Amino acid sequence: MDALIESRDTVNKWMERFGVRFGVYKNGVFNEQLFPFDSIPRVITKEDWKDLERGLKQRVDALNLFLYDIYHEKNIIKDGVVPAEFVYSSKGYLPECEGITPVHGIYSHISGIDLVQAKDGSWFILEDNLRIPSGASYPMIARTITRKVSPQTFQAHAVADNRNYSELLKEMMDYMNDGRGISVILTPGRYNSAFFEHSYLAEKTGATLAFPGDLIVENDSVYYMGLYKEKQRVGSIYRRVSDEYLDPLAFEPTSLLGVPNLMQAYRKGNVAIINAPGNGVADDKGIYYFVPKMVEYYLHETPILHNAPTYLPYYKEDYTYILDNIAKLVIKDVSEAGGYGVVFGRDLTPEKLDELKQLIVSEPRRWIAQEVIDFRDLEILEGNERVERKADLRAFVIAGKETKVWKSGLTRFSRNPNSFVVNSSQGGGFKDTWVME
Amino acid sequence: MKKYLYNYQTIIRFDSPVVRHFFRLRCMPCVNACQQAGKRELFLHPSDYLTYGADAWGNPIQYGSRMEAHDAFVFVSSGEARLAPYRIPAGAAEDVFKVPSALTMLSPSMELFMTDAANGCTPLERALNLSRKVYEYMRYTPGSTQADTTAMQAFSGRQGVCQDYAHILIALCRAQGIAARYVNGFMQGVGLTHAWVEVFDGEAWRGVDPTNNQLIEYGYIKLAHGRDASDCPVNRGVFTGVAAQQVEIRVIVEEI
Repeated sequence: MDALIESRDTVNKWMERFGVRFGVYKNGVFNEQLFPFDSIPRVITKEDWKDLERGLKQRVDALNLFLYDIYHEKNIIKDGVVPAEFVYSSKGYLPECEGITPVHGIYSHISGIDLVQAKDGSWFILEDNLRIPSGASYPMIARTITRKVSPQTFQAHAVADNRNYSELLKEMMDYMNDGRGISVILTPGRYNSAFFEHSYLAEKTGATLAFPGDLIVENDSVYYMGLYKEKQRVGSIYRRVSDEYLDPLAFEPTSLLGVPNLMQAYRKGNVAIINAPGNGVADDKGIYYFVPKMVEYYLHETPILHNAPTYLPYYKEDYTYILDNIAKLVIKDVSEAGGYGVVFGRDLTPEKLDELKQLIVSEPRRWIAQEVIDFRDLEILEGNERVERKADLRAFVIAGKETKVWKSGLTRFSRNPNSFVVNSSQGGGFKDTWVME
Repeated sequence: MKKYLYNYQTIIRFDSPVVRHFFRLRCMPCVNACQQAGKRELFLHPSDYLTYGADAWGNPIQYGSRMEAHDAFVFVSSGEARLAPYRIPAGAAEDVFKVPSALTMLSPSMELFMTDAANGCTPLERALNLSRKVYEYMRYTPGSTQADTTAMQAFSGRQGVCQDYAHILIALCRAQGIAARYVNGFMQGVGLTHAWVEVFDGEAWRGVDPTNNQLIEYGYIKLAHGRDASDCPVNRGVFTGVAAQQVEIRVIVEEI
């Protein structure tokens, strides 16, 4: 274990050589950064994992049923469990997807569920990412390197192998493909923040890495245009292009990244899109509040994993509570992602607090408030010293023929001792996540 | 039922050739309780293939592509439509037509504008009152707005075209709790494509044309509806090439 921990610099050097990078746009300029690796792993015991795994499967199954319901019968709205305006005013709700039944009825094939562990050991869900959750490649590659650098560590500890992520992915893509054609990973291109991951996953799964312009739709089928203009039928697209750019004739008309008329081929059931368009309606920060209710509504089960205590200004009693307790809450703008639009009441001056209150009063639907959770901090190496920092865990759940949870995950930490925000776009680092067997 | 002949043609000229041209059209009349289609024809040139389908709202769409270089794109939609008085029965209005969409948000000044116009007992009467107010308040000015102008922007500028009139009326109706949707289509006579509003009166969708300040009975051929104009453009295309385009549109509808 010590050998592993001392190997930090070696591992980071190897990752640099492999080109493990993360692109960041700052003031309109694209820069690639290394995603700093910390060699002390997060360790999850076998017992802890059992609950986590059950809870994650349950949550993703409920979210998939919710998405099907929203784009079909809408029973959860009719039964008064989720208010209509939360669905229809969500930016992630795409009417274009109404009535479409995706292949095998699955919407969220790859879910990235962000959790934190409280001091007492219990897990809380921070948010669900059902659109294009990224980050699985980092622990995969970190493990590949650490196993080489310190093989004895992995002989001495029974750590579940996490290099099977690509197999889980491939198995799911094949199931979604149903033998209709080739599977592709559609990348926006090399200036996307996660381009490294797109190419890495394509290599590991054997899928074709497709760039914008490589895919065309003809007579409701999708084709990959090869080098010599030979056409190959495409059966499933793991797309890393976001919904609004996916089909310029259906969504953002100025998109150069999309595939024109893709939505028609999709509507006819001739291609699987991974993840399905329109999933944003289920991982909206406002809808988050309702996920435990979805578990009860669709599965008739008690939710195993808990949300952070959340308040919606939309509800009268929550509204009053938020305005009275704003100084101790964390306020989130439901339309923002990636750690943006998150404000801690305790960091604000009284004037700024009043401004925020005014915003909540004028647009209650736009905000949620949460209690600040007392995270269990994780040790990281700062120089050669061990210090404690805030960290979260992104667990990856793959839904194909069965719903499976990857026995690892992306543990991200904040380098800044005073920050609770761990998003990689905000300059944090990552750790390997060990699930013990 | 009254019978109409329609002929809609669009000619797009590119000043230098374009390739990889993909299009998605809503240029053929839909079929509903008050609108039946006789013979419908679509002539389109050039295209590699043409597919007929429906979008998420159930509107008929026609889509395809032309990969090789071309410097013009023409389509002509023609045929016969039979119209009954404008009423499209429905059990209930979908919730999605009751909440604001991107182009139909309400501004505080629109809210003020609405307060003394909301009289009338039935949803339809209220919608007609609002339509009259919008008609009187706005000045019809071609070229004053763009395809993505919002109701708020058009309202504060006090000018626009049929699309803007429709967006403002939709925003006001939805704020009044009246379900309203945006409609694209043809109007009797010679001109361009037209836009109007459908409001739900409790039993059926009724047509209201704020640009001409009237309740629609006959003479309007519907192509498509959606939450606002961005949901149901008559013609949308993308192509590769650096070209300025010149678009010529002509619609003729006559009663026979």
